[in-house]
Amino acid sequence: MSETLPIDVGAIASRIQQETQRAIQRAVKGVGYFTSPAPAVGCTPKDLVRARGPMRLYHYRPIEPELYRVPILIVMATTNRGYILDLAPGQSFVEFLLRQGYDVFMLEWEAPRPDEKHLDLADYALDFVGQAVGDVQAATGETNLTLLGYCAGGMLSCIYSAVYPDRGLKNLVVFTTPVDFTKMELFANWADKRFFDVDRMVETFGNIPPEIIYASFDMLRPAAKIAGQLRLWDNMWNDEFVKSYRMFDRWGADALALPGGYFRQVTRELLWENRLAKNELVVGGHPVDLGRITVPFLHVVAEHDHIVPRGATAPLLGLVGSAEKEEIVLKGGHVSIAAGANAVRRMWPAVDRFLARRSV
Amino acid sequence: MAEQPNLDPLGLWRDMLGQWERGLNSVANQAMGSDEFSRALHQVTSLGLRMQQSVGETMDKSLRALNLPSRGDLIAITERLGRIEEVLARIESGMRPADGEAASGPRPARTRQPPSA
Repeated sequence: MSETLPIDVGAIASRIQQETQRAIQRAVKGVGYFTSPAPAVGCTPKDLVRARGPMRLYHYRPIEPELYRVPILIVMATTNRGYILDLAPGQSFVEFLLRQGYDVFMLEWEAPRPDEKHLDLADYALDFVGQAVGDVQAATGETNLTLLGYCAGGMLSCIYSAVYPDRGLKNLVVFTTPVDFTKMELFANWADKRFFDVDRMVETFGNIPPEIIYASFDMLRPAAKIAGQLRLWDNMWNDEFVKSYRMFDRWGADALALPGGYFRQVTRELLWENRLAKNELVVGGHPVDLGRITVPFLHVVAEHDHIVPRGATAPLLGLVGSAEKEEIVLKGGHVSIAAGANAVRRMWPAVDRFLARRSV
Repeated sequence: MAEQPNLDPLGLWRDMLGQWERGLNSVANQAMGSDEFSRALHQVTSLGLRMQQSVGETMDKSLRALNLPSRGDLIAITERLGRIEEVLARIESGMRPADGEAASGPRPARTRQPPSA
């Protein structure tokens, strides 16, 4: 049976003092919060290699005198900015890879222009990713490279790798990549073909506005925004918490518009027909058979991912034809797995362990 | 075993906040997963899209009557500017020194081995 210790008056006094100090700090730093600019993100030095349409290919400047032979091309998700993988020094996956001795490139996206509303999966997965692969090969003088895709960037990487398995791909690493869209239940329900007229939406908007993309992510966790604001107030005294909150909040709200053609194809062929999981997807006239991917393959997924649930990511490992393939399930959510404290401790070293001996 | 009394005055509030968040998300997710929600969502969306289309068409006609450029005209100009930008980018990339050699000297050797090797 448990018993309660006698009350420690000294501990209570110390706690009251601490809470009083925090209350004062909340008030003082709260004013600073509203008057200071958001923390800088994506500061690792890089050079623009190519800008074409919505694609932006960057080359991060190496910081180690000796590099692994095989460069890494990161393919970012189409709905969000790439700086989630380069938030701040010490909290940057890109910086981590550079320090381990990798040569790192990133393919990220700008919002499509109104005249680019026709761009579709073939443009993104085959043309833009293909262009970036060629640019990396030309810039490094190496035929081989590792493709590393995050979320929808992982899906684009898988499609490219399945269509062109013989174009120098050495390794394929993807994070939280959806393949079974029937398991993305809320998105599938919102896009229910009995009610959702995707053609009308695309004809009206051309490109799907970022507000719709942002709202659809936000609706998955309707209480998160209010709870997040209350936690921010609670932790306003803690500079590290506030900085981290502002960076993640900025990134979450910094959604990108999607080209109408891409949105229509994803809705019809993935959300309605689930063709990627059935190996029935055809992109740019090429059948996408994930079994044609035979290079070493790593899929890192999050146990508590509310955007791409576990059921949507799980079948990918079985569909890929590689002999060397691995799935790592880590605690965390869709974003924290890539950029949170868990990422620093678990995910980044796991990726390094997988890639180091396969990058020589 | 003896229990230390809880000295965190906001601890209970934090626990309640976490429970409230999980509970509300769960209830809302259940509601949003229903046919009724999906139907209602698309009725509202459809109404919004119809309004947007009709406002767009009216605006187009009005701008044309006033001899002002419409959204379509601006998109056409943006398209041409985009093509010019792409040509400039191609010219610029042709003039740039080979990647890795710019300002920073020779490229690092690509001979690194994994730590255990």
